[in-house]
Amino acid sequence: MKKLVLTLILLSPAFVKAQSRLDTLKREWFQQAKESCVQKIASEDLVFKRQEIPAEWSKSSAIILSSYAKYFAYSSKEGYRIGQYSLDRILLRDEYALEDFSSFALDDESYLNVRVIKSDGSVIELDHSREVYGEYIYTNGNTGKSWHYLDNRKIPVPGLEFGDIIEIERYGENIKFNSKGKVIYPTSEEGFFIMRMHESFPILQRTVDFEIGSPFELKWKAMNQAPVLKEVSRNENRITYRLTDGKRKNLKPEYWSTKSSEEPYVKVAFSKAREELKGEILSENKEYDPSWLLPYINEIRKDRELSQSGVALDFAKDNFMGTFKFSGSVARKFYSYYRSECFLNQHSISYEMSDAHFLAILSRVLDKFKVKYEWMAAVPKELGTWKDVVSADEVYLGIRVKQENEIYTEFDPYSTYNELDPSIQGTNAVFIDFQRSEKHPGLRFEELPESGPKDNLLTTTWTLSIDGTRVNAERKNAFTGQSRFSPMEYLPHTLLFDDDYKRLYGKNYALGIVSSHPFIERRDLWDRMEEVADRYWHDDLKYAEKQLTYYFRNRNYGFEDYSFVRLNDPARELGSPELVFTDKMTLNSLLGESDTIKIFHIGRLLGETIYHLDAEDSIRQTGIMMRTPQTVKTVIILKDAAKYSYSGLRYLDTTVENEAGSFSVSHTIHDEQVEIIAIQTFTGQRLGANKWNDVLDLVQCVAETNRKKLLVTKKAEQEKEEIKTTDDGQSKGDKVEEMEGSNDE
Amino acid sequence: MPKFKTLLVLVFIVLTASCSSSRKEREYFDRYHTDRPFVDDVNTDIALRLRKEYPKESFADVGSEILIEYYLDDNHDFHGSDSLMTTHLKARVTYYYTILSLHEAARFQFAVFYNKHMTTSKIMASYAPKELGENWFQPNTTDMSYEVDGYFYSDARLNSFSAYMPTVGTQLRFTYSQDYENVNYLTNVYFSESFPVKRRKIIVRAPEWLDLNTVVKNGKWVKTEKGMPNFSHIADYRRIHQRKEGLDYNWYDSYRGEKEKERVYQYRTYSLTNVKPRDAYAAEEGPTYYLPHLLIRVDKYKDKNGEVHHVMGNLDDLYSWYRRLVQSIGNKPEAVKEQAAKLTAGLHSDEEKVKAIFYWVQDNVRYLAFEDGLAGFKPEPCQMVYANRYGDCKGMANLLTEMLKSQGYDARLTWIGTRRIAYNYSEPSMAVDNHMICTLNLNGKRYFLDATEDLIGFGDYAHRIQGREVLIEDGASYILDSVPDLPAERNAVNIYADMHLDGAVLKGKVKESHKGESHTRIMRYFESKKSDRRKTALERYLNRQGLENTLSNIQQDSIFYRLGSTHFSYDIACNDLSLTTDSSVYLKVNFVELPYYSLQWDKSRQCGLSFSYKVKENHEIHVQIPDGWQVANLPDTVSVQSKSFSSLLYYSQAGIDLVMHASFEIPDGTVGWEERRDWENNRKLIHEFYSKYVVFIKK
Repeated sequence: MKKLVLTLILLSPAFVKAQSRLDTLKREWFQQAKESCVQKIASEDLVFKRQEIPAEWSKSSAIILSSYAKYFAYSSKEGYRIGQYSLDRILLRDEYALEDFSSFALDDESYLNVRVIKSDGSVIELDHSREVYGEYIYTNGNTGKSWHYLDNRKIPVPGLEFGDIIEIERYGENIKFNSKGKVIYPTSEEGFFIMRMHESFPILQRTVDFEIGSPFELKWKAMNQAPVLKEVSRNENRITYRLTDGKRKNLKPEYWSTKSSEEPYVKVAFSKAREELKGEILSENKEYDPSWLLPYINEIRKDRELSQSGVALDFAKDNFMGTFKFSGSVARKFYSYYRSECFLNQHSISYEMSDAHFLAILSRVLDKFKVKYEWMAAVPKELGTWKDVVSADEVYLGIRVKQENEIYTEFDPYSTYNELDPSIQGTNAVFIDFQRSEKHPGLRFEELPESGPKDNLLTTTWTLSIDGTRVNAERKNAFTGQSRFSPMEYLPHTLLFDDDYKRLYGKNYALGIVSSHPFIERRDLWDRMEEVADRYWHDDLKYAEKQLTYYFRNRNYGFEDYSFVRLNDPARELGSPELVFTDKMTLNSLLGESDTIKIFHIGRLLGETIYHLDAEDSIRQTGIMMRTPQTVKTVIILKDAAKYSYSGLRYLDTTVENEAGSFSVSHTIHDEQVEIIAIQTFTGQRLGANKWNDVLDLVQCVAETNRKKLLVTKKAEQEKEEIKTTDDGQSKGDKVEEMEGSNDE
Repeated sequence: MPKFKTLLVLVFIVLTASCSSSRKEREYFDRYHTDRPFVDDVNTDIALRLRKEYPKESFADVGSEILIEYYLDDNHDFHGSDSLMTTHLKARVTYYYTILSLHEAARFQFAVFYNKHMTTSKIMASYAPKELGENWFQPNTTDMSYEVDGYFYSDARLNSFSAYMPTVGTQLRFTYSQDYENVNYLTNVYFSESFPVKRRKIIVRAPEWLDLNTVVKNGKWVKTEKGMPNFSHIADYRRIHQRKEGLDYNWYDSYRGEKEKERVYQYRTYSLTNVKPRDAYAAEEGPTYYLPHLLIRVDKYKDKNGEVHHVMGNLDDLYSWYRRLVQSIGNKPEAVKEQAAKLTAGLHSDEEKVKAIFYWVQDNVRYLAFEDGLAGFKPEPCQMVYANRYGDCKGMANLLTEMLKSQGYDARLTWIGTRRIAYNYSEPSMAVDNHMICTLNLNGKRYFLDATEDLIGFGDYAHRIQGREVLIEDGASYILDSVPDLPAERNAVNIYADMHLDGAVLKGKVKESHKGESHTRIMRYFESKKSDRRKTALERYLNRQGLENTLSNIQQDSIFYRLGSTHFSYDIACNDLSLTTDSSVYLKVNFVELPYYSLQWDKSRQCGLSFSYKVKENHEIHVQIPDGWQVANLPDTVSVQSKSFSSLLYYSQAGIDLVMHASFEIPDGTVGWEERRDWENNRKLIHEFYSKYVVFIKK
């Protein structure tokens, strides 16, 4: 009985019932959509037309023979109908393809049907009863209330063999059921997506239709020579646009590719006209009228759900009561408060953590404290410029506090205030001042500051001592600016974010924390909540060490006995976008020896080798996108200079500089140690195909340095005193000079 | 009228009581949810001491109890469709933990694993020490499906919660229980966790009518005691749950009555202190090999009528249960007969016919674990697996068996535990098995066919099943046998190179041959790549040292040939292995190194090494001595002979060639924990050997 009750609780809440009704309805609508599309496909010969497969695709795992998709957005008597239907036919030619298509993930938003067409023409239909799924149950311990979600839905594809054609149909429409089981249609829906012309397999023929009716309008932009949309039919209610493309090979996957700025794609948006709100353009640059942004930002400002979560009130209350120990600008304090609440605790807002939420509440806080500020909007470089914008979804938002001239952008756990994402740095942003006038706010264009390679500095200082054929290493890793984001992901998050709490609450910070898992009440924020949960899971030194070991793994040198030593305190301070931590390891592949000398592959520690580039990309189809424009500085301190003579030092020195960046190595000899410094700079985040040769020159120079070695000989006792620094920085008594000439042969 | 008044009074009392009860309940909830984590000096001191002992651990369990109890469930109907998975005898395991935080700002996470044949109670937690009252609360929990390595199991689940531990010494107690609907599924209970356990007690309470078999595994330091233990924590747990959940605990004796009833229960207490945390290791042995745990099975029990029921007393009982499962599969052999006949048409020998069927299943039925969870032991009908062209190990074994049977061969379903499991059938338990294959009796010989082993040949066996006991179906009886253990030679890898120095570049031709599991591993690697990426994949596979070497003219043969070996030949140019001065040439020839030797035996490692196959590798690298030069110095020979591995590396001179010989053998594919020092010594010696330069000087 107990089991029965439990099963009933688990499987038969109203949710499951609604789920099955939704599925039924979607299946009906899928049939309708399918019938109309299939008719069109047949009458216009869009899919079934046989085409010759180009000979150059003979080794492809699979070939997309044809792809048809239809997107629609219009108003019906039930409500808005926004969705899509697609039909793809793919020829499977190897084990990889069979494995790739052997099962499909399902989601709540779309209906999937798969058919396997055998070479003899027979057809195997997908057996929907074979679907398996996980069930996610979240239980609030306080109220005992549970939320059930289907998770990880998968369905296997039966009977797949080489030479089969797999036909995949998908239909999706954004409809939901409310708690009473009534269908909810979208009300103020907007759609924005990017359609890339290249797929993971070559594609023979592609047709995409967009059927748009009132009150929606279609905006689109073909980028990088992508095909344009053409109107193919029109009646009083709807207009259909069509995109036709074909014979696209799959692009070679390239590392750090600037895909979005070079590959052909089409940006498409459906949107409804917004309420008019006029703004006065104050800037001299009037080439583009961004007035349409006003109602969009106004909606966020005024969104009661977003901004009235009580966070602003709680913050204001605690601030006025003097709870906070941290003194600073209101905006900075709120930033710290919000981040600590999001990451360390507080059920009341963790589930709401979102970009718009942060900005909406920040604007309320600033209003409450009468701080002058303005809104900012910018277009990420990879999506073009203001002229290419088709949807508000493309726009990056922020708030600039006027007195401190600090910009707070969308909430990012790793960055701090006044740190702009590289994608918007140097772009022409729009600033909107609602405080000037609610009805007629002022708008001005202003170029956002751009950080250069010097602002994103990664300094690695190795202190090395020789131990047989191994090298004991202590390393200090100092990251500034954007360069610190990657390693931050590997460090225990409580180490990073706990400081916000300490700063706010002083010594009693522990008492400010109530232990409770953040709970959610809104299903659409589930993913976000999972992210937060994942971070907690990783709050573990052991885990951090494993992750860092993995992070630093490379092909230039092997290491063992890795240990994470410490994280510096300032790394966690607001306003100090710097991360410093030290670690220790034994380098085990840098030293070779014979009976008389050691050969030290010191070059392998100098400069950041971009393996992927020189290994595979002598000819590149697209430019390169670095993680950031950054400077990589490597300092090597050889501690054993009193014990050993190093020859070949001067052959390490090198300099190359071009439009893509620079690379230089220099060395100095002090009393008891040798110091080698390598500085590698990439001037920009994006280095287009035109700078490709310059990039290769830098890569080549680094690769050559990586091959350079030092000859190490043990000093006789009496020679230990001889190593002195001369005026020109060269070592006296370097009796191994004779070997240097051969060092780099 | 008086009656009506009385009724009204009664209703009033009931209503008041219920309101007051719900108000109390609310207050109770309010109280515990506003509770602060409690920290006292004693706990802080303990935590700081533990932190010195375990500097990288965030938490430690400073005292946990696990109580295992058995009872009869008289309320269940055992004749339903699910009766195989439900037994009259039930087991309940109750867990009680006391966790201390060893670091500041740590978040404790805990997950409870279960499947649909178990019922897990609510988890209750408390920050307060016992002396300060209960303050138990139910934490927020997330209950989700459990996925292993991308394989999706629909009924294995984990229920997790987290609790913030703000300062060193924060204490958290939590407790929950799990009921096993089928007592056979309760097979073992571990002493270790992912965090260190300072002290753990496992208490088994067996009624006098139950014959229980408990064996301590890997528990040299486990203390066993008989008699009534002090388990006040568990009593605590019962009180909490009776109050909070209103669960049916009537079958329990009250704690107070336990002492009186001592004579009708047998208590055994197993205690272990200072249990190291579990971790994941490279080349890890299965946990049953090294983690201390209790292996449990019920031999038999007497019901209330005095009737004796055999559960898992011996292998007959285990087989009998398995047999009931496979009898209900519902195979339709006629659905696969035509395909089997088509495959064997025109073939003359039995071996050819068997191979045709075996290889067809391997090649055409994909291993997809869309099965009924970890708890499922019942294969899918052959006609389903055939139509779907996918299945799990049981489904594939069943299809293969039925196809062979349809052609008149004597094929049988066979249960087996892979090498990952330390047990054999001397412990008749479901914990012994984790895999299913097909046994074929052909011309007086027995063959073990594992259809999940892609590209393996007929008569060849994967390392994971070699030497393992098998339980073969034989009608009402069974046959116990073992899969042959094949020598390491089966997986031999030989690399031969003929090299010379061209300026500073070491150049030459390399030939490689890979047999057995090394061969199938390469083939599977290729199959996992897109056809148009395989050439690059091959180059990357062979170019072990990366950028400094350039490979060209790569030739391969017999790449997809079963039972054969894979052969490669290629030209190589190594840019970074030599250095020339006026007086000497320094040269290393380690462009290819022996496999596995470089695996570091981490100090915290608790288990031995278990590789995916037996290793035997030989390298012979010839280097032509440059004209006008002679060998001045060679690295010392390395020769290590340990109990379960050996290595030999040395140089010799043959005419104008200097030859580097390197060989490494792990004949059983495993290295015991007791050999850790030998392993590390071997690793260091081989590393030194490869680090040393050969020195040539002018004649």
